Amino acid sequence: MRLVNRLCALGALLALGPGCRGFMYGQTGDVTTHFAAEHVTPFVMSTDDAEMACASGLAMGNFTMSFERVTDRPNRAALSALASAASCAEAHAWEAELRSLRALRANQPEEAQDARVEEKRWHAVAARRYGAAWTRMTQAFGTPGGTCPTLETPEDETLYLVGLIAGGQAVTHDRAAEGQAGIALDVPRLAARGSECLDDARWFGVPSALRAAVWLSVPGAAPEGEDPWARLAAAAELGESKGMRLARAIQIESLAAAGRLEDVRAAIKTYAESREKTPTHGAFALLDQNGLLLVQQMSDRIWTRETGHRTPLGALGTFPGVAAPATEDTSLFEGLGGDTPASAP
Amino acid sequence: MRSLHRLITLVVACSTLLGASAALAGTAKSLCVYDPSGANGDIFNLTKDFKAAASAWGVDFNAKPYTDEKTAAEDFKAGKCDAVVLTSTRVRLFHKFAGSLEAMGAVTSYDQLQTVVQQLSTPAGGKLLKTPEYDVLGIYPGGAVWLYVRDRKVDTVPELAGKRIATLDYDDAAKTMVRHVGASLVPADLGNFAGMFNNGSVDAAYAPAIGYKALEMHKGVSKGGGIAKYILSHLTFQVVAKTGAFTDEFAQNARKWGADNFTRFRKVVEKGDQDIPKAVWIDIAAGDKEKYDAMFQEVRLRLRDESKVYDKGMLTLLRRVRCKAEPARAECAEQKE
Repeated sequence: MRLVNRLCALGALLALGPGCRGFMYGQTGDVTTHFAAEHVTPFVMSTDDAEMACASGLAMGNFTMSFERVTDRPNRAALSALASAASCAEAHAWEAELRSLRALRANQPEEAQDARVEEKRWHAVAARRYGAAWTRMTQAFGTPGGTCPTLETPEDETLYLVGLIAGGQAVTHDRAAEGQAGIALDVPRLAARGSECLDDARWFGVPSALRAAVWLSVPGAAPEGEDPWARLAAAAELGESKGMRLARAIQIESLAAAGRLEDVRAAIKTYAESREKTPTHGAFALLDQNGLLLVQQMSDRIWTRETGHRTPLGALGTFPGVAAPATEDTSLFEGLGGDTPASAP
Repeated sequence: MRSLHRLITLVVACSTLLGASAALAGTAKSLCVYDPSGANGDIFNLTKDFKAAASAWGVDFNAKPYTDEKTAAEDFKAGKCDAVVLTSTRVRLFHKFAGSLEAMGAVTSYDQLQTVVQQLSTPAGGKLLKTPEYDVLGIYPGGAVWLYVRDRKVDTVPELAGKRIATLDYDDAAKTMVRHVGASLVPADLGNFAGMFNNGSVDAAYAPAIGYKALEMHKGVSKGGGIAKYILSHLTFQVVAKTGAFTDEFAQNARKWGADNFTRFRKVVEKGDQDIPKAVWIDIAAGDKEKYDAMFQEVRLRLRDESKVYDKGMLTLLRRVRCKAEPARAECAEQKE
């Protein structure tokens, strides 16, 4: 009886020939990649653990993308995974940057130099991953610049926005990596045009912030009569009022790039106050968290340059040397001598 | 001659190097830290930051956690530690001025406490913190102290008459107050007062909000109890050193660091207040609050003049801070403190 069973099993395996396996792989690929785009992305967007999102991108990215060997290219799922994986490299680059600043402060030129090399390597990795995410976005929705794509579902809109942000970030990181990733320099302007396809109010001011940031970084990109700084400020306020503060982070990054350091401090302070007052928008907690990490890095740069360490816990929005004690109010101390201290127990 | 010159150069180079490494290492000092949760508690965690800051001022602290405050104080007194972190209640036994900061009803908000700490971190304030025997190197917020009652119907002072209140046995100020309201004093220590409240051995106990969850005092209020929304005092943790153990410059740096970081630590303790469910709080009528303010002042004066528990100078300082914040208070014209 056992022998009969074994023979039957062998027959079934033979019947499942290469064609049949291909069909099954294709079905599995379709289901997996659609599930990733339609459910995993919105779910991850609602979480506030950027580290976990980055790890998911690294762990699942290649697996998801490999289905292009057996079915349609899973551009939507790949876009999300690549952007998440890019954020891991971004975090490494930021850490290396802080190490470099600490070494400079401690007068350790070799350590500083090594940290700079490490930083550039990670910037290059981040640029490649963000660049790949941008490419997947253009393959899924078309290259921005012509007519707007049909964004049928909220998930489509989310992915489109992530793709646009990835485009901007790809160029920023590639410049920091001395162009190692070879990201085309027209990507930011294309991303800026694509941002016009999204409703600014619905997306917490991020599209207009992205646009204004590009106008500021590309000479002559701002349309006649537009004030990019005013746009950024309005976008930041809009986002803060709804608990999704990525636009403020973009504004702060632009202020830092323009060397407006006092304004950077003021904006970080406003950002920190908003986090105290307005809870994070539940559906887009991850984007808000990404904004936090960006602002925190800006703050860490200031703290590290001035003190050798990053922003202390709970001190985001404050800066070294500013929290000096209140001016001495001698009227409080007039005539106070204190009593004789009690003898110790 | 050349060899002698080389030898001298070598000796000078070696001494310079030795001097540099000594400066880098800093002066070794011991710090005894009282934290009810030991090395895993918020206070010990805070001292790790303080230790890191102190290394920049040339002091390398070796911090040792104590879960028993009395032992920490005794070890400090016996010279086993150069400095100690204690609650202000215990500090009062060493340094009357600094310990009187937690005088009952004398600091009515966190803002006022912050003002006092900031002012005491200035050079003029620092002079008040240095006595011939002890020097206070920092003051940190431990949270507003609230009255926990097992029966929320006890919401006025007259109703406390005859009730059993867990009272720290070394806290002379609290003992005086308990007697003043006609309650029955049940001696307790930091290790057992919460348990006594939870199991009904006492009807009331006083503690900061951190006791609600960390010491499970929610159990004691769960069956019809509550927490009176009136700040009895502000617990603080203070770093006390023997005068001369540290330089004046170090002491000033340490006090300034504490004041600069006050907001950060304040947020932690204020969160404890915010985490107490709204339904647990017992609101006190405005008219009653004024009566209690007057009653607390009466007790403070007695503790200053008769029992000599509170420091006259600190009470004056706190009255001035209260009157800056609320100039309309009746006591501002009377100036009894």
